[in-house]
Amino acid sequence: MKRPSGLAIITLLVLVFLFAPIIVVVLNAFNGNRTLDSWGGATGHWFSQAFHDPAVRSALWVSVRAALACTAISLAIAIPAALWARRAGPRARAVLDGTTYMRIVLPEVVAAAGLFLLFRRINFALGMPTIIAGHVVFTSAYATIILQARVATLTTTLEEAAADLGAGPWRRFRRVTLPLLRPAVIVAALLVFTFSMDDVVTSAFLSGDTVTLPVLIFGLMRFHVTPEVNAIAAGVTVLTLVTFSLSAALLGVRTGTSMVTGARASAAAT
Amino acid sequence: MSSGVLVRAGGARPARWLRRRRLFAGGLALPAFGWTAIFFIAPLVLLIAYSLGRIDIITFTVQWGWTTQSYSQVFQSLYLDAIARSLMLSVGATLACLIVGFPVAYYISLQRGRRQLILLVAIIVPFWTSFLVRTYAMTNILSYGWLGGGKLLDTPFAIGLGIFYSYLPLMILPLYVALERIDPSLRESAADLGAGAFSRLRRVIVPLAKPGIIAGCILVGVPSTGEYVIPSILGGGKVLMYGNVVADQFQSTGNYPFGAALSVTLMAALTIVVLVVRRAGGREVVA
Amino acid sequence: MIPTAPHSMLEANDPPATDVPPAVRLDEVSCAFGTTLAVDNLNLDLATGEFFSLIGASGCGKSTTLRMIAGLQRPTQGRIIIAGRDVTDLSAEKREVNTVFQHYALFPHLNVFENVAFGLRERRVRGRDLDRRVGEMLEVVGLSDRGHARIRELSGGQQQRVALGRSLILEPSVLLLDEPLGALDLKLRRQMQLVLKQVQSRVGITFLYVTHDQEEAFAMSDRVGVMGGGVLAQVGTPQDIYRRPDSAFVADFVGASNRLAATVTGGGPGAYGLTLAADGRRLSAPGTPGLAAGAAASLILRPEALRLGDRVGDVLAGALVDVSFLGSQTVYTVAVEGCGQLTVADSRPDAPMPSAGDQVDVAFDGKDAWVVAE
Repeated sequence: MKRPSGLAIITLLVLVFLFAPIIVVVLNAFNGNRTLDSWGGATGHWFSQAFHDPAVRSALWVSVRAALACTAISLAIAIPAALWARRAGPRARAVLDGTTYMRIVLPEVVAAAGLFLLFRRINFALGMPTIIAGHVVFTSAYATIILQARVATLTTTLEEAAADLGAGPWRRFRRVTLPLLRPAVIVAALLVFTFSMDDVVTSAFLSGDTVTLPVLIFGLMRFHVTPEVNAIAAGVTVLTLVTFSLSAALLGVRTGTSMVTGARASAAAT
Repeated sequence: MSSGVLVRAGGARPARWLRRRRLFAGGLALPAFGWTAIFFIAPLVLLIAYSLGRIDIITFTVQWGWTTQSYSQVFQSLYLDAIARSLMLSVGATLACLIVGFPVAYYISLQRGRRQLILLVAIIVPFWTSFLVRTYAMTNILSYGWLGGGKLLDTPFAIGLGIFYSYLPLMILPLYVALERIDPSLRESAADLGAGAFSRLRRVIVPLAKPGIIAGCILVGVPSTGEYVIPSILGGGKVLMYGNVVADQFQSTGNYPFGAALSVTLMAALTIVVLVVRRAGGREVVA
Repeated sequence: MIPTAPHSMLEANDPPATDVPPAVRLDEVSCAFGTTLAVDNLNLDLATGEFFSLIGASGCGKSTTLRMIAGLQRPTQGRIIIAGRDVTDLSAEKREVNTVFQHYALFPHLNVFENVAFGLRERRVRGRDLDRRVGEMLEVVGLSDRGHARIRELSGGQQQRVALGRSLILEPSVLLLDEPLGALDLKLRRQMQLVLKQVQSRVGITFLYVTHDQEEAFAMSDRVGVMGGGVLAQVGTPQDIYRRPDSAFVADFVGASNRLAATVTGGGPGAYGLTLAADGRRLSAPGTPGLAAGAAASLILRPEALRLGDRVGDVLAGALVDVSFLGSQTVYTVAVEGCGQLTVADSRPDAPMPSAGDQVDVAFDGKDAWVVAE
């Protein structure tokens, strides 16, 4: 085995650095010691406590519903937009790319504050609809980028062949375009779902009396480390890993990874 | 730019059909632009409008008028502290992400096949993992006895570390993409012409990775300036950053014009920075 | 199995020995990738100032060989000696060889001047000295007025010249060229071949040129090495290789050839006695040394050595399968009983054009043929 290069060592250290805290949280979720300053034996107590906490359950349910709605709407926005961008003129496309980029890069606080003012102005009650609306603003941007990256790899040749064989526009979309987009749609959906489930700032501003899970946890976290919070956090992490594994399984790890990386780069290159 | 896939044979109603197609094509963009206009642009416009208004302390109603009172408030010494700290922490964390992220991204770009894939997955998983959990994980770590037993919490350092930790994957990914694009024969050619490892890095790799560097710095630097969650958790509410001050105005104080002014100032400043940075780095085109 | 040229044969083809050590010596060099042996025990000497080409099909190991000399690939076995100095363990940046890459590998973020100056800057050459030397080299390659151009503004041929200039300016003892003309169209390629040959003789540096195009190699080189399967099949001047190939493999690679199966009955390299397998007739033809009586052999006949319709010399009867007028040549495909399909080429402008299916005679002289082991 060759002596590992300096670069390899740095990379390894960074990976350890990235993963260690998460692993610590997961481990501590099982820590029997309440004060968490040492290991107190393994226990599932905190998990059951969190699971049976009615506040946690209702918050979780709120978040899941919001995330599902957000995913659906984001895809409904992003798919047509990505397809449109393919044939749009350069100036129109620049506008789309610009606004997409802005939605991702602008600090969330600013966008959330603005939305807050908007809803107040028109006297619209804060709650589920406003949460979803706020989430969609930035999640649809992520979805758009991922789908655009995928659309860029498609040629119109296949659709032309379908047209030549007699398929009308809707059928072409359903039978040729959509299946080709499937990998990107899956990655985008999972990413959007995760981001919506995880959102704090926009939810904090726009939820009113409704409580989403991240906002709940956030409130608890401000008082620093408690065992129950660890359990919830560990649960959320598992959820992430599940969605990631799901996308990897459905797509193949290579496709999914290249899509996320490529999407990141497209966002950055805009 | 072709506006359609087909030209139908039989020119019975080509004009109307084509117009319908064009309308349909435009309609595809409607959801995106519509949603953006209503839920993104309009709020920003509203922020600007509010920032120029005045708040009546007693009735908490906003009076419209054209005043820059809120803006002058922004530059009051009380909040200047938080602003300066936000900038410094953001810049510092961005630089740290760049210095640490570059070797990692470079290493990954040099790998092939499965190895590269595994490494990329290893970077993406933390990126995909809940932001909240990751920030919280930092508190866990900083609470450990041998890391100060919680003494490092509630300090600017903790916040900076938290930003660095959360945003690191966001720096690595665009860097990786830019480095990956560099033709390996350029490295070989540089070596062939006598350039050692460091020289190759300085004269060939880094200049060609410039777009990635800029992208990564913007993706990390800009959002982190307005960070709200990280200072709340790792700063314990005692160390304030820009984002906290803004959020406070809307959630507790109720001074909307001031909050709006803060938001607009932040937006303007960031926009200027982004434009300048991209103009400066954008002159070179990577082949 | 591709027969390796025996060491004795290599030495016979080497330029006359002098006191000067060879510019490049490859000593039992092998390179394995996992279980694949890309280069298998290669021995080769390049003389100072010669233009040497390595030719072979894709995957034969010629590029790997070049990269090993450049220092971009470590041999798994063997030594590489440049100008008398063992450089096997030396990294690319420390070797005194330079490479012109297949796709030029010009730095996109630098202009023409800076690309050419790159190696000099690495050697700390600065200011006026640098300007002067780069200016001179730009003149040599004919790009004096394009110093400030960006690489992407240049045509393929111009880029190629920048790549050449960038390497030559460092005055390497050996210049390695890895199929540099591949991306150019035919006419430009011919032009560049001339340029390269002229530059080489003017500058006097040893050139090692790698290509799959046999004609190109023949046009420019003093000596040529044919590689196949990681092994050197033959080394010699272009005439040697074409007229006196060591094996059927080499014969096939450097030009179209007809192969007739035969058995050796006796004689020596100057004139072997043969029995043709097709119809048992007796022939005499020169060939590679070392063929004993009773050995299975192939009689190699170039298409231009065959004559259609002639009845003088050894004549084979056959049926015409195809006639193609290519402009500079007329090519006939004739099916001959026991010999398969033979290709005949006629360069005369008034060559006959019989129809397919006609019975035709194909004639040749034994002395125009060449015998190799089967």
